[in-house]
Amino acid sequence: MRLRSPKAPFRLALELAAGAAALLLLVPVAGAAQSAPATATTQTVFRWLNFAFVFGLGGWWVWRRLKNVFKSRAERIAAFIAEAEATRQQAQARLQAAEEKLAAIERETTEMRDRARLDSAAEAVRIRARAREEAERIERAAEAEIASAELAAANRLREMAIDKTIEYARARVMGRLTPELDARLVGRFVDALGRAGGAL
Amino acid sequence: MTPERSYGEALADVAMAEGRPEPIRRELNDFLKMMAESGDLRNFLISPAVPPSAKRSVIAKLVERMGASQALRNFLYLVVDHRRVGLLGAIGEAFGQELNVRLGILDAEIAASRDLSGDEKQALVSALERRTGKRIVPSYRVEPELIGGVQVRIGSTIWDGSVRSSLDHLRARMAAGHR
Repeated sequence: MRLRSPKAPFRLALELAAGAAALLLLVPVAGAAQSAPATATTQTVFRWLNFAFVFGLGGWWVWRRLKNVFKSRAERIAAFIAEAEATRQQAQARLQAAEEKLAAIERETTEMRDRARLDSAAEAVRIRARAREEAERIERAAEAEIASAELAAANRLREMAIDKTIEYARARVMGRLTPELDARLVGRFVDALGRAGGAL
Repeated sequence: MTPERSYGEALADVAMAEGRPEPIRRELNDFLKMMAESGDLRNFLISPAVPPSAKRSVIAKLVERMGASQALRNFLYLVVDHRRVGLLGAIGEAFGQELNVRLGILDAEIAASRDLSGDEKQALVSALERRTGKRIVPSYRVEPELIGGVQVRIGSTIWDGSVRSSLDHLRARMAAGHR
């Protein structure tokens, strides 16, 4: 952007004042030169020519001065426009980058959500499988424990039955074992003992 | 070899050499019985405060009163001199076992639920002698827990013909049959 000189407005005003003063000086000179009414038309023409000349000269001078002003202003405006365009393009680029980033974030968010959903589903499957395995293991252990308890109870019951049977047999034998029977037992033992290698 | 076994074998050598194993066994058992019954005698013979000569003197008098052999007296002198009186019980046991081995004698512990008759005892001893081929020295005891029949133990061998044993076998067979 082109900067304007701080003295430029002052010079322009000074030149405008000088032009106006010259114009005011020329009008009485022209009036004094006309001495007769016959020359009124000539005077009028001269006035108009003078006016046209002064106006043209002033206009040319004004135009010459204003042209630079307008040109510098147009240049400034063009610079402003260019700067604004650059700024706009930068903003547009930032906006696009932001939009792209936003789109990427949204895409990433979607992916994360999808992945989380898949992970959650897989985890649920794993948990269910693990729970099922644990339940099966507990069930097997419980069955084994029950079977063991049943076996132990059956063994205990069998031992009790055997104990009772033996106890009953002992009572029966003691009730029926007379000295004569005992003597026969001893005799049989002696006979078996006397046979070399015989079973007792 | 333990000291008591060494002394036992030495006395067995003497007894066999003199040809009087059983009398010497009997004499030693009598002396041990006397020691067991008299605490004073036992303390006197064991005490290190008593000189060996005094112990010898007492032993000589006791042996003479018992009518025991010179072999036993000399053996007791040896035990006193070597300060092995405390082992005398174990020595007597080792001597008995060694003598039994050399004489072909087996000690048999016979248990029954009642007192066996003389004929039964004789039959048992005869059967055992036929079975082992050695002379049997039985010792009898009554064990009512046997219910009936007889149980014989010789060393680590047991012949069990008792009713209790039969019931135990029956129990084992029943338990095995259900497994």
